[in-house]
Amino acid sequence: MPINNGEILRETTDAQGRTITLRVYYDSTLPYSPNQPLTNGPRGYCLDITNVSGRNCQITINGSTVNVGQGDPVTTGPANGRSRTAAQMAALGFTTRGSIDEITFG
Amino acid sequence: MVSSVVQSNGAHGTTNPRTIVLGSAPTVGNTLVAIMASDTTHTGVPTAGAGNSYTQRLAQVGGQGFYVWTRLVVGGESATTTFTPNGASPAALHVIEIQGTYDKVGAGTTNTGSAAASRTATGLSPTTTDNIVLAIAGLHAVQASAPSGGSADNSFTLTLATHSGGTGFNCGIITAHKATGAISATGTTTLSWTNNYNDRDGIQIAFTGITVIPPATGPMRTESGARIGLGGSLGWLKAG
Repeated sequence: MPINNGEILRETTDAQGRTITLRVYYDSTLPYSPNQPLTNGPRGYCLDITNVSGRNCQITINGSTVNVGQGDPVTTGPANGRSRTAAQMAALGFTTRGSIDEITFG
Repeated sequence: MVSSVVQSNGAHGTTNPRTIVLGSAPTVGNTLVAIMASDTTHTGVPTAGAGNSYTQRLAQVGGQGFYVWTRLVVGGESATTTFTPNGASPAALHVIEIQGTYDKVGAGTTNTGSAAASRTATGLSPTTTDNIVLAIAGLHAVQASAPSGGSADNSFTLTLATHSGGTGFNCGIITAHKATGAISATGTTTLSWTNNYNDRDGIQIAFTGITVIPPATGPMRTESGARIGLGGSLGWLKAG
């Protein structure tokens, strides 16, 4: 069965051990479905980004590429490259697990 | 020395823990690459014998758990790598020994719940010209017909393709490699197979070559006539 643990995770670590982590939280109390609503995670964000690598990073979600800021969690930098609440994600058009279809992370 | 694939092996199954055994113990200075595409997450990083843990380089968890780990071989590593999927869930596993050291991972791509028979792995720019680059597709959730086979474009050569082989929820991994000979961007590689998977992740990962210092070949003389000897690979000097 598909994983239904409440988070979409992307994490990479470079040769110096520096890690960049992106999580998108959804309601895992519901059965697996593209319609599972996005929710806020334990740190209050739905899109929760950690970038303490000291390097620039980009994410592309459903074809939209943005630069990611620095922090743990990332709360500064380009507007669309910061950690976001579920309400802010909804304003950007992301409301369900299925709406986060294609992620390119690097 | 240009990086290369030394040996590889893959399997799938539902036992936990799960092991992949290479043909021989890995060589010191090389790098082991462990890959998992699974119905589940994991409960710990793989090990190549007790205490010989891998380092996680990539985690992509959506509809499936797709992971890439590496370990620099320092001596004492086993030919057997042990994985710990979270429970007795289907998982496909690869272990590859690379003559080289870890350089970088590229931008990971993912698609969840959209059936297709290919996956792109975004290009990267290797740090050195003596590189080898792996393009990997982690696959999960089959349609009515069991997937099989594997191929890659962009001049990548298939390393290993593993599929559960049944219908229903299963897993697969396709790995291909290329020694690019350049530090320019490799470009996107598309990995393809027969019949569809729903959850499809892709990544490229680069390795640099290993510098080999040749052993001493005999005494030499300096301009003043004194003899010196090269004392092995560390270039140790001794007046004669």
